[in-house]
Amino acid sequence: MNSSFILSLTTYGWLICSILYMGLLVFRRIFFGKLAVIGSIIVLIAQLAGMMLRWKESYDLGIGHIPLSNLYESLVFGSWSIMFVYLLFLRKWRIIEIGIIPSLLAFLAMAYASFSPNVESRIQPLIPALKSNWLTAHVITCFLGYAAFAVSFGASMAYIVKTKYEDRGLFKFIPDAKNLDKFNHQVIIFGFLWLTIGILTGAVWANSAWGSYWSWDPKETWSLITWLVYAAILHARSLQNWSSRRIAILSVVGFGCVLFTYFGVNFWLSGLHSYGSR
Amino acid sequence: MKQILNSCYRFLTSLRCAVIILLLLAVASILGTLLPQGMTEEGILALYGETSLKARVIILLGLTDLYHSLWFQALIGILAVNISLCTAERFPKTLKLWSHEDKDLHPERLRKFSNFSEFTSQKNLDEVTSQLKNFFNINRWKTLKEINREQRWAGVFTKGQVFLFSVYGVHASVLLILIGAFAGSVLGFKGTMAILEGDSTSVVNLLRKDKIMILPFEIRCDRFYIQFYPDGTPSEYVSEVTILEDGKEVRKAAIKVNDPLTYRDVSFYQATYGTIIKRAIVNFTDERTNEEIKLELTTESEEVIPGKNAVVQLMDYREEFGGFGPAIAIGMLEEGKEPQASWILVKHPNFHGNRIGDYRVAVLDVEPTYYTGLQVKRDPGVWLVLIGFLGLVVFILATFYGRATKVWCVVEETGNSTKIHVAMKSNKSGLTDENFSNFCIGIEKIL
Repeated sequence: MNSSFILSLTTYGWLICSILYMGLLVFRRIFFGKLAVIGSIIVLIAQLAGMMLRWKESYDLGIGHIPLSNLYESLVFGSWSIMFVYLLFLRKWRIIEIGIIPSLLAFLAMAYASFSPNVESRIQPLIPALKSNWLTAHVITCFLGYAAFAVSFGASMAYIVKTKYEDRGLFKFIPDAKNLDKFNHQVIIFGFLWLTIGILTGAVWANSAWGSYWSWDPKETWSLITWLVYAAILHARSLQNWSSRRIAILSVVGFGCVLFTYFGVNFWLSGLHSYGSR
Repeated sequence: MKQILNSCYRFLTSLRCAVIILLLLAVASILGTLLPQGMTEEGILALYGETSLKARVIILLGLTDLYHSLWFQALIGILAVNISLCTAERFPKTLKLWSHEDKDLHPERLRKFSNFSEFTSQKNLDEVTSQLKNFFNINRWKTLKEINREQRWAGVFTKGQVFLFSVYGVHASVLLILIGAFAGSVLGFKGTMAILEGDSTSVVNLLRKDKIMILPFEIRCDRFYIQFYPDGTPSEYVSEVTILEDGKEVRKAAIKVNDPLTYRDVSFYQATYGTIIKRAIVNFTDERTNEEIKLELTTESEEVIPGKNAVVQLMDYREEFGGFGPAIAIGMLEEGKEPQASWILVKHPNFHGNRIGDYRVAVLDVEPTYYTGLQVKRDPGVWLVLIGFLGLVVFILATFYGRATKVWCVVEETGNSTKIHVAMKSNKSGLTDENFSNFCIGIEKIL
């Protein structure tokens, strides 16, 4: 029973959950929804246990560090955060019907981490640049932000679909657009707060490690681009003639920026964060 | 003309302008990550071709150093102006809202609010009033105003009024960060230093300018070394350094990645390292006579191969040469021949390419010397920036999760019963409804 085994199990866990969320939309039986939520909570706990175990294993290897240091570990934590943020908001908002999107994203992240030959899943020692207490704060806050934007992407897609097809077929069950719009706003605020803290902890860390809090490194710059897009969204909400539909579309663009920050920069651009690429 | 200026000003103070600038900054930043940054004009011309329009546009707009180009800086400047003007426009209104005093209050006014409720009680006016006041006190409401009239009592209570200003805090923090960054770029400096083990220097090569800067003290690199994990990957890069003031040792320190040294406001960070070679002991075998000659070569001076009209010199050293380990470069000048140079593999003495002129060459011993590459900076603006960072987080929290609420309450005695009217308004419209119903339940309990 090692951590890799538990974490590969959670990959299937998220697949099952997303099928259940899909079942809720297809069969319109709340039973599926309840099952999906219970399943999500179980998989979330299992995944946390897997990460904790991996942490312990790294200490057993004599290279102990929190499992947030390479692409594999950040994918695992990323998929966990998406579902964590989703379930956090589920307590207050009736958004069980959009669960298909975050759970699918969590599954895809885990599947990519587990099955892609480009992702090294071995526990590696920390390179000198990452040996800092800022690592934990920086990674956790950034991912909480990214996760909230992933959930916002789900709400935005649901909003766009709902306003376009109203009550046809599958979409009949999606909650009303106004509620989705309100929810989207709340989850964007949450994400914006954490992304801000994430960027700032990164800047403070960079300042203490290389003597410059901002060096226009591609990943740094892309996180700023993401921040600017969501800042624009938050300001645009107060504009009179900006429709909620435009906000939803801009949120989808914002999530595109998140994906590019996380994947695109590693694959196409090089810079300070290149150790996240393997 | 006046009209144009007026509409310009109107636009600059608008939210629409803010949204547009934020999105423009995002697009400009994207451009900067897609084009190679920090290339010279010659490099750009070589990359895209001398005559290409693309190269000319890139050079004209300063896209090779986009984030420091005038137009990008101007965009940030416009953002700062927009923030300042918006603040100047809106702050007085907020102040008014904050200090607004109602002259008199009637139930009719309260009825216009979306969050309005009325109750009836059998108790008399004084009793209800004192109970209400007590209720507001217990629940930590601030009393803004009380109006006592014949058979009527009115009160205005507030909670978290200070949160009305948190949005100004966010914008002030952004401005502070920009001011701090500007101060740092004007008053501070950033550069690099490369110091050989055993050498000392006070010269900093400034980044992005072809200038140097002389520090008022010297820094000596006593030793540079790399520590490794058991699996062979580096675990730590360390420079042991000494600060010298007028030749006197004043401080010793070890600079590591993530662990800089700060002395007299100047900070030194471990950035890179490299090796150069000073001496190598090399064996030359003359292929014509199989005669062996052992020479000690240095980078400083050339050595004569005894009995031959040829001089050799050590030129260069690579720690890793094409996957074959370390290699040295040797140059040779023979009388009547073109000068030649060749890379010699240190770890593979029998490699067929280890030759120069008519000689087979084997390296017996090399003495590489490390040099450490330090980032050096002085940034007097960093404190403003850090305070701005802290403020940004605190005020964003306050803006989105802090609520300023106002409650108006009018109690009237009509005949043998007392009517209580309450209305509530907060700056967080979405969350007020639920809050108000809870508040009403609380009021009902005491009546």
